[in-house]
Amino acid sequence: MEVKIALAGNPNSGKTTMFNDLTGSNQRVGNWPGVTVEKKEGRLKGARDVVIQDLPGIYSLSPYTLEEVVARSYLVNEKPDAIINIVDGTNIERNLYLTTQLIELGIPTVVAVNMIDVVRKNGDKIDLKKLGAALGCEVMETSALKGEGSHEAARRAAELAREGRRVEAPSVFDGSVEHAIAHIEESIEGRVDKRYLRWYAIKVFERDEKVLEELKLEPGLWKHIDEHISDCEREMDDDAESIITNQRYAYIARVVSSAVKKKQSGLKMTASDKIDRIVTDRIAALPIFVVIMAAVYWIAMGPVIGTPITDWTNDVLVGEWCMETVRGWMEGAAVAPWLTGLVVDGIIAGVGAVIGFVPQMLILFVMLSILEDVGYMARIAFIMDRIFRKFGLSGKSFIPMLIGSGCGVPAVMASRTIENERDRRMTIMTTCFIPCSAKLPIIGMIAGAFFDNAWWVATSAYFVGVLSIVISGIILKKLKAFAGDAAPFVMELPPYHAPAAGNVLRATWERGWSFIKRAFTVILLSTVIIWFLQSFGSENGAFGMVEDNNNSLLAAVGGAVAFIFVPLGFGTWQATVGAVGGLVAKENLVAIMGVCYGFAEVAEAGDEMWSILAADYSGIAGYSFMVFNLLCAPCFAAMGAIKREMNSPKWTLAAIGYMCGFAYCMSLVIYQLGGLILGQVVFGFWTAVALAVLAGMLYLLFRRNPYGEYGERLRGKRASANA
Amino acid sequence: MLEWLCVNAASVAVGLAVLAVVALAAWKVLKDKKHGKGSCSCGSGCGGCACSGICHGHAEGK
Amino acid sequence: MLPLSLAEPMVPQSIAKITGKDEVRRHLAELGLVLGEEVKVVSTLGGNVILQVKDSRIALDRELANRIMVRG
Repeated sequence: MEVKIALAGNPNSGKTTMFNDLTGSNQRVGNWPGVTVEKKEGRLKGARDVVIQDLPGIYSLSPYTLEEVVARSYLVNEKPDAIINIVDGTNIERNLYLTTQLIELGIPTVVAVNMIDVVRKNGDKIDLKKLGAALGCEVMETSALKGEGSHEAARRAAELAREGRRVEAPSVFDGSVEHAIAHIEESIEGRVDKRYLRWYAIKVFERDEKVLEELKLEPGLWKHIDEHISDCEREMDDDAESIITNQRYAYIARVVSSAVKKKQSGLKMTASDKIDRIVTDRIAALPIFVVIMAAVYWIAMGPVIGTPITDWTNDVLVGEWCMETVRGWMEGAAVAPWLTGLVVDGIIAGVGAVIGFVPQMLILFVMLSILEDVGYMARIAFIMDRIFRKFGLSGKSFIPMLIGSGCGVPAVMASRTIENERDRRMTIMTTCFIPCSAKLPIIGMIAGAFFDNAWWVATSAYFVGVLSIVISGIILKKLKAFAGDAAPFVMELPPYHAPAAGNVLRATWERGWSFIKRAFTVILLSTVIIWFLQSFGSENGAFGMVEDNNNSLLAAVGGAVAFIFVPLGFGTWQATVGAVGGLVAKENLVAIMGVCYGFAEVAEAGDEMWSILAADYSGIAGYSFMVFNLLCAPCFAAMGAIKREMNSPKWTLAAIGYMCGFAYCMSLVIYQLGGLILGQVVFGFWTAVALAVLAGMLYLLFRRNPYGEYGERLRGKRASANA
Repeated sequence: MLEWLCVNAASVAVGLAVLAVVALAAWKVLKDKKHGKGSCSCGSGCGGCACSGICHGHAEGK
Repeated sequence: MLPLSLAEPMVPQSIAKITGKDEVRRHLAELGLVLGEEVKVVSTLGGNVILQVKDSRIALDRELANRIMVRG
């Protein structure tokens, strides 16, 4: 008989670790229908008939946030057979707030007091039996991180599920409230599953909108119940919801004082607090942050670790071991030269170019994962909040930017922490402006071909990215769709702890493997297709393989569209094809341009190609090309993430459209006006257009915000007062 | 015909190999598309991502 | 009574009143910030506050901290 066990608990309680521990790789991840809340389900290791359903981390079963609603619906409608409630043993009072609500559901529950290892280290003692008796359920100790107790808890939960015993929830509330609840239970009996009766009654007492909607009580009946509730409210001089909340906490305080003995009573300064006082210090916070991030990037991309590994991968692994070896074989076996070209200069070079930058990206990823695991990322959001608020965003919008420097896909997904939908959409729309590691080869190519590998090119690329986000933020905030102050910043800061190697390594491995998979499938295919398209065409009136690929099919197709990019300085078919190829994967762009210009071993540096590029484009055109590709629509994978997170075709198109449009405008201004200043461009029609575009952008940037803090339209005097 | 094959055996072999690889790659891409996995560079959505803390919930760690 | 953003750090304070929109108040309640609760300011950054609430640490921005009144 299949048994369904739900895993519920606060965020930061160790739920994810326990879920992974219980299900191993037998898990399936998706989204709850219709919402961007992740749904994780798996089978218990060693007991295939036990299904573990991971619920989103929630603080309570109220109907206010998406996660809570999703968890609630599952528990009430899907009727799991048991619940494992993960409770953070070092934060037990707050965690029990959810526990009392779960028990009211009447589903057999096992409370797993997690992080018991930390509890013991702190010298605190938890009496499991007393706690269980007071709460009305079984309580067990676990340390998911250390792999202790999770399986026992799951097994016990499965046992309880099979026994199907009735759960007796204790009386948590005061006499008069319990009385009112009993009354309500009588009134709604028969309308709901017997198991959930008490939970529904309490929700009715709280005047829970969603429950009332679901129950559809007759007006007469509701009036009667409402009177009872109002009586209680008058008696206690508080609203029903607050009454329930306060009494819950009071009950929990009593339970905890009898069952939990803390070594140090009262609020104490922990090691985490001491670290926080330094790390979030008014003066030291930003410099510390800058130093840490500089270290991260220096390790990932710097001269000691990052660059050597990348160079080795490109030159040795791909260059010597693969390309030259295979070329040797093929020429030795007298394989037709065009086929050799396809395999060595096309496929291996193309795929190799991509593989080349994977080590660097992985290192960056490991570093960012460590920062997150340690708990510092949460502090970063807090530190940045003050600055970001000035642009109408909250600090939570900064984390996606940081992650975006590695890869845009998790960056877009990281926007989920932003509760405010408006802010979240805006963050999704602008996060991809930050150069991800796949864009680094593009920067490298431009820096090498046009600027003699100057260091400032890369720095300016990041600067352009951040600037674009800030500009976009300001401009978008003055539009109706995004108007209004950023939502209040509330974030729980988990205590610092040493990074768990398992989590970090496993995540990095998964990401690396995905990238490699992508290289050998999508990129391989596109390289082959491009190679063929640029090898065949009409030369001298006949169709066949061409000598000069400017006569190829690809050149024809690219050339037809290239006019779009003429005002930006790079209206050639090669650049057009490159940009489009970049949509498949940004790292693809350099390889594709290499193929278009007839070069092999372009890899990440593309030395041979540089002189040709320098001849074909002016310096400012090269820079404009770089900016365009950095800012325009991201790769397919990132676009897919945007589509999933926006959950709306209209918004997805808006996001991608905005990025392309913004990129076009920026490139236009940079090429025309920058070129004018540098003397590489002559004043013409498009220069005038660029001036107009610049004027337009400045206007949008600096105009008075026509909307107030709540997104309402300001008129007349109020508008000028709010300027 | 046979003579041509003998002379160009290597080319044919390599050509077939390339075709096989391309077909495999194409099949994999289509299979992923059907399963709705998309060419996400993070394989299983949010599977075991250490960054899952930042991705969902309010700073859900561990 | 004074707003949390002005409260002295490292000294236990008792929450006297929380003004403002319901949604935010409810969310704070879920995190343990209710009337009468004892909290302690661990750190401030330009008005933004890190609060110690029942063994956990909650970070709040300045506007929110201004809406939570504590007994001085």
